[in-house]
Amino acid sequence: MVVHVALHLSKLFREKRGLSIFIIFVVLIIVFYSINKLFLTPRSVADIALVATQDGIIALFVTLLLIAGEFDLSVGEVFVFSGMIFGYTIPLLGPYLAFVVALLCSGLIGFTNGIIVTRLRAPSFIATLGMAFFLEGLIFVVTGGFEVTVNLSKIPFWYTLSGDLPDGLNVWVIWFALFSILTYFILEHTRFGNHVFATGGSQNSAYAVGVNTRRVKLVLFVATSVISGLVGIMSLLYYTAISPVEGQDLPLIVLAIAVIGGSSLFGGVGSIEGTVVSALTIGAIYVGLVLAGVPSYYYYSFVGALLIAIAVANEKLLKRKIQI
Amino acid sequence: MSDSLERRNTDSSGPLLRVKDLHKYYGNTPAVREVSFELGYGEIVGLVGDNGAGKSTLVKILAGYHKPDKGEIYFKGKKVEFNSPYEARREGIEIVYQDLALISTMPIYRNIYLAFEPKRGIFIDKKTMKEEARKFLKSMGIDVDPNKLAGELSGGQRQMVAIARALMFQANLLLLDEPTSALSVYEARETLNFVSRAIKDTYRGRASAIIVSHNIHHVYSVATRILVMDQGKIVLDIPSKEMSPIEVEEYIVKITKEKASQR
Ligand SMILES: Nc1ncnc2c1ncn2[C@@H]1O[C@H](COP(=O)(O)OP(=O)(O)OP(=O)(O)O)[C@@H](O)[C@H]1O
Ligand SMILES: [Mg+2]
Repeated sequence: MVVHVALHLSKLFREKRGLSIFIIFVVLIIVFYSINKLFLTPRSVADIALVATQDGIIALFVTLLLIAGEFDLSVGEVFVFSGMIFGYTIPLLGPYLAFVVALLCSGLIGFTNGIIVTRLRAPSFIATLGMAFFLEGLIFVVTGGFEVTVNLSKIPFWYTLSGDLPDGLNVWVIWFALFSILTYFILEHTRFGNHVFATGGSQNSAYAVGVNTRRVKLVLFVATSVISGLVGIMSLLYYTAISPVEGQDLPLIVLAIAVIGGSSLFGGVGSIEGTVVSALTIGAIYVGLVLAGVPSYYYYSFVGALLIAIAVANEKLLKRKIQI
Repeated sequence: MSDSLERRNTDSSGPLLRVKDLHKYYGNTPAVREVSFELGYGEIVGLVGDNGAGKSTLVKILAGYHKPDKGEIYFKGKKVEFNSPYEARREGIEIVYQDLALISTMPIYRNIYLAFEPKRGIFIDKKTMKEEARKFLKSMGIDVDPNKLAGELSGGQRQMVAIARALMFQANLLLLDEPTSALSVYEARETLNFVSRAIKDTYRGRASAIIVSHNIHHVYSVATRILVMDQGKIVLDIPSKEMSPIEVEEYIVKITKEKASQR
């Protein structure tokens, strides 16, 4: 009986990689709540959402990229770069054009990443790390290390991108929900999504039966960059300032979110559901540890341990199911 | 998929395939040289030859996977230059690769329809994909659940599913590169008979096949014609009735020995 249940459970975990993080999420909620009843007040939920949604929106696209077998270490610098372009060009171009230009620049950076990876065949680790350093240098040259600030009264659409909702929430929750639904349907129900899985599963085999694997990757690099740029602008509007160093942790945090959510660094495997729950879990850990009175440095250790545990467990489970 | 068949208007006056002076080099090594041949409708050709003779390279060129360095290909009466496997498949050329089979991390039904997924509006039609895949696999005598990941299959099952995929799209030209290498003797015979029946009955003379194999005896049972390749060239091209499998085997051994003595 016990063996039967265990077998059944192990099968379930193999079928649904996002499941482990879902269970961890539920357990953590219960633990944090029993430690401190403030954990489930609107204020805390809003704090969780703030952490989860900013990183989560980028993580959704990084998930697609990971499933296609690539990743992007430049998302953090694109985040800052786009905010900087937006803030600096408003006086010249007005807010709307500045917004478009910032996103175009972000898209161009993603396009460059994609070309370097798909045409010049550099590993995405090298290509996007190089791009991150390049942008970081540029950002410091342009800003002199100072924050970029904006004056919201000059930006009519600021509320759409970072306005407050009741109960301390802000519209990022809505954006996160919309992008989650969008990426979910793209991944699970469109040809493009099928090609994303195929490209990461085996680029050669996918190409050999007719998938345009280069285009899949290029599109994803561009999309990831544009979204990182968008979130950079959203963050600038919310805090009315963005600092040149703000993007440094971001690429690794979003990568961690995707992997904790069940995406494989080897490509071909992953899910949007997993990433959504993972992003919420990261937010919950952040807020939960603060409310539990644990010094905030432990946050990183906690996330790190979780990352390793889940990544190792998931690869083991996958290997037991199929020979790769 | 019947509509895709309709779209492929076949001009059956000339040959189905005409290859003229095809060359392909990997760096400086010639893999395919001076290859010319024609393929009529309804033919099943056994393409044999030693390891490294250039068989896979030749069929990969025909499938749009490689671009030839020189030479021309005419398919269904018109000159074609495929820039990708996708373009070749769209024209009606299906291939089972020797080295690139299914994607292990994807379900069988998604593998089968990859790059040609049926759609309903903007979304892919998973229900149709699953049902049609199950039906077709069953008709070939393959009893697997299309929801399973390809990586969960045995080597033989994978090969059968890859062959099913090639047959399912009602191609005009089927290229099978070592399709029976992972199959048992019985499975190999059943599968090749299925291919042969498909060419004769289902396609009713609108299609042909090239079957690459090390095992001359495997292909002889279904091939109407034998092509032998050696060092990138076609060195023998005869109807299978005119030479026994043993004689072909001896011929290959002879040229291989000559090659060795020349060194
Ligand atoms: N991707 C490649 N890069 C470099 N050389 C290659 C490549 N593929 C094949 N070759 C070389 O080209 C020649 C023809 O190889 P090919 O695979 O077409 O032969 P084959 O007849 O299919 O052999 P086998 O029966 O072993 O499958 C060989 O000398 C091989 O070493
Ligand atoms: Mg070969």
